[in-house]
Amino acid sequence: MQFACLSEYFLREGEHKVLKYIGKRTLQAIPMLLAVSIIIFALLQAMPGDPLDMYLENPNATPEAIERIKEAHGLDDPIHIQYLHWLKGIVTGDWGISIMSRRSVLSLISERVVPTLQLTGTSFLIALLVAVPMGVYCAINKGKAFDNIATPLTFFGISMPSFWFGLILQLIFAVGLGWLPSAGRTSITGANAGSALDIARHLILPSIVLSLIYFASWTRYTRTNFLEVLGQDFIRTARAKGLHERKVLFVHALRNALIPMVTVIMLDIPVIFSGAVITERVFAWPGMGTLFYDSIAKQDYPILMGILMVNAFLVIFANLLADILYAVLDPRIKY
Amino acid sequence: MNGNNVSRRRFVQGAGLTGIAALLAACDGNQKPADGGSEAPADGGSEAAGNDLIIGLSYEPDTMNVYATHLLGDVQAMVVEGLLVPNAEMVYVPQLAKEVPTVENGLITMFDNGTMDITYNLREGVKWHDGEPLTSADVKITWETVKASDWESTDGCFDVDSIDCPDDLTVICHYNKQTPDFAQCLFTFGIMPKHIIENLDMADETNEYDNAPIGTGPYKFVEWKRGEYIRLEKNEDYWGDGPYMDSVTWRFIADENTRINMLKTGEINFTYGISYGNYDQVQNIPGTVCITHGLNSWRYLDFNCIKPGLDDVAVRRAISCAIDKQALVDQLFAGLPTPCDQPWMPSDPYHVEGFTSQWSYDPDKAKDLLEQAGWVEGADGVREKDGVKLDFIVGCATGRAEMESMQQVIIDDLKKVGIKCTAQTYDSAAWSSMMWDGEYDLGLGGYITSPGASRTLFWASDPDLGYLNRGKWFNPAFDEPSYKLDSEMDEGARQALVRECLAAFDDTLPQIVLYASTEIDVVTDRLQGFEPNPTNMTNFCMSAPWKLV
Repeated sequence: MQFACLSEYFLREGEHKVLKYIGKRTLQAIPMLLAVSIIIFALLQAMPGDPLDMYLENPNATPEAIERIKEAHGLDDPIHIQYLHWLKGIVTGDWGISIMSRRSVLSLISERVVPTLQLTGTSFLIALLVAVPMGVYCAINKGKAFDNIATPLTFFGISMPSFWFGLILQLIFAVGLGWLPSAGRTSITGANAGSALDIARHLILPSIVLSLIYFASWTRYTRTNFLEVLGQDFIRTARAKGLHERKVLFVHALRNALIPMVTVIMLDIPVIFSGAVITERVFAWPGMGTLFYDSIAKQDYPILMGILMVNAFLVIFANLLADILYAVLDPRIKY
Repeated sequence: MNGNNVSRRRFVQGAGLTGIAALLAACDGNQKPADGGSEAPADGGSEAAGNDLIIGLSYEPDTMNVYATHLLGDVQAMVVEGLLVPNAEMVYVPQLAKEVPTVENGLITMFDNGTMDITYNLREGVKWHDGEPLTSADVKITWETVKASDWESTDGCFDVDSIDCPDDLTVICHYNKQTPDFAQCLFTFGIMPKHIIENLDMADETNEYDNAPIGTGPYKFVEWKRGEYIRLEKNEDYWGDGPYMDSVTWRFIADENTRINMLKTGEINFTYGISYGNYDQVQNIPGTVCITHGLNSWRYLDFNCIKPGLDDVAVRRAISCAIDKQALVDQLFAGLPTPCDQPWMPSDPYHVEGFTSQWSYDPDKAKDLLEQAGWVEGADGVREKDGVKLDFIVGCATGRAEMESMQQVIIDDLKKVGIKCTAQTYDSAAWSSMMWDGEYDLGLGGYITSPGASRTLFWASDPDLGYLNRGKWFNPAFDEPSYKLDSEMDEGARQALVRECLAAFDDTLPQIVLYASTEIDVVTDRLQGFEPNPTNMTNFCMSAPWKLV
């Protein structure tokens, strides 16, 4: 959002008040995260089977060895003790050890952060840069040819299963045309392997697939909001006082139409994170989605807890961000 | 013996495939004709050319430690070598040892007290990847370390009481029993370097060795880019013939259809374990050859032998007679796997040639068996006796299209003889614990095993020995020859004992062996020297002579 708005907001509300609000909301987030963590922990425990079933199939793992592993991971303790143990770890920066690979959960997750941000960030940008202008254009040209074509297209985007669409794109752009790599994050051989350009080329197809769902719904939202704003009195006033149509549309109307979009888009941030599970799998992208998928299959609780908590944090953080941006954009809202 | 490793391996690969296979046919329409023209490699022609092998692997390894991994050691097999290795015919041949110890060549000494000594003479001039020489001390510390560990594969460690190293190249292992299966795991999976591991805490699996192993194999470990690939490079100082390729990179591509697309673009030039449903897709990819070969792995329908109904041997026999294995394999899997009646696969030297089950497909016989045993059809067409109905659940792990499609065929076959079945799938961890606790009726699954005749592990009555006997099948006629087989060193006698075990197996059926699995490999047509390996040591355990031409 425009920086001028932010300083304007601080001036309007008083910096102190804003920071106090942010502080208050952050404090409120703590009991929320605690509650979420208890629920997730309990749900994971309630899943049938446990990670050591892998060992049970193994003729060489003696009962004593299994007992030793259980003890090392604290799997024999009552559930509330296990939870408190986990909580203490989370707070002190020890997120636990993956049961299958026995590597630290924090390092497993952190090595996935950069690829995840690359993919989700790019998809987010693509969706934003295409959806908002397209929504506005559709609204301005409501009922005309472009709008009539774009509307079914967006529904196509919403209803497209991403694993299928991903494979189709691979077949067209990698296998058929040979323009882009099909999957992975870098090439293996060649002078450019691993360069920024190489990664960017590998990013194109998965981020198109991932952005499609959001692009579609955001276009619809923008179009509807914009139409609604265009019908309001202040737009008529702006036009009546002889403002240039471009100024009416892009200054007066757009800013107001974007206010509800902020909430929609912010709340989609965590969804994009989790929505990447399938896309990452199809494109062998080494992000958090792939890690999550593998960990579910192996019932690797410590990793699942870690990823789910990151996600819960993102939901709460995105909500907070949405609320603040809302106030920044809309002078009528005060806290 | 890595009993059930295949299930984990297949799960990793199969889990995401649910439903995708059906859609692939749809994708095919968009595909350009498979001629050379559409083959423009995506990355400027560089990927497939050159002297680099790029393998598409369906999963990411958990650890590079061959004894600790829960998966098959595909990647590791190029880096870490053992003393012996099973070849394509499932016969052990020397790798780091100079010869395979036998009683005849004097390297196995049998003692009257039921113990034995095995002597290995190590190959001269073998160097670790860091230049240190391989010595007998490395072999000894491998045994000590594995024995002290809680790793997945400690098989055979406890059969050895002590190891002597009279000189740098001689290892004498003192066994506390006589076991012909000494090569199944210990020392075959791999030898670890003493000078590296003695300074590490091997119980902590974040240790350097488990993530970046030093081996003696044809390729050296270079880099593990988490979530993306493992890169190996040519070992210039290799002791044997080869290696000839500059590098081997293992890319982790979980989605099978993506792997097929990458084969078409040349982003990978080797993949394996393609599912039967995709066989048509991979047969004619330009620049590649599609190789099918038998695995030492079978698919089974397991009986819970203490479940009312299934505890009647007549019912188990009838179920066997009701299932048309050939039709199942033909209809579901394009005839690729080989129907089989015995738990010794056709690739196995112990396979009993010409054996057919007494309870082969014959639905009329199935009905007769059930009638004679007093199971009569009720009003709903389901047979019952003394208030017990032949109404079972056929269970398997989710996400394994191969198993799920079989459920339906088996249900149909059994319905025709008056046995009602319902399909259920469970997530793999839940399913394995259900089987473990005996909370199942009929279970579909698979095993892959090391070369070796013994099936004690699977069906022995003694729970300490018959660890995988989850269906509680107790048969002294099986136990006796099977226990003998575990210590019989004479080949002729072993073959005879296998026949005895098989007769007992086929008599009262702890499970139905459905078919021997077939592996589908797709490799670049430039690759020479590749010989598929049916064992759990994987295709990659003898990769030194491979060449790209």
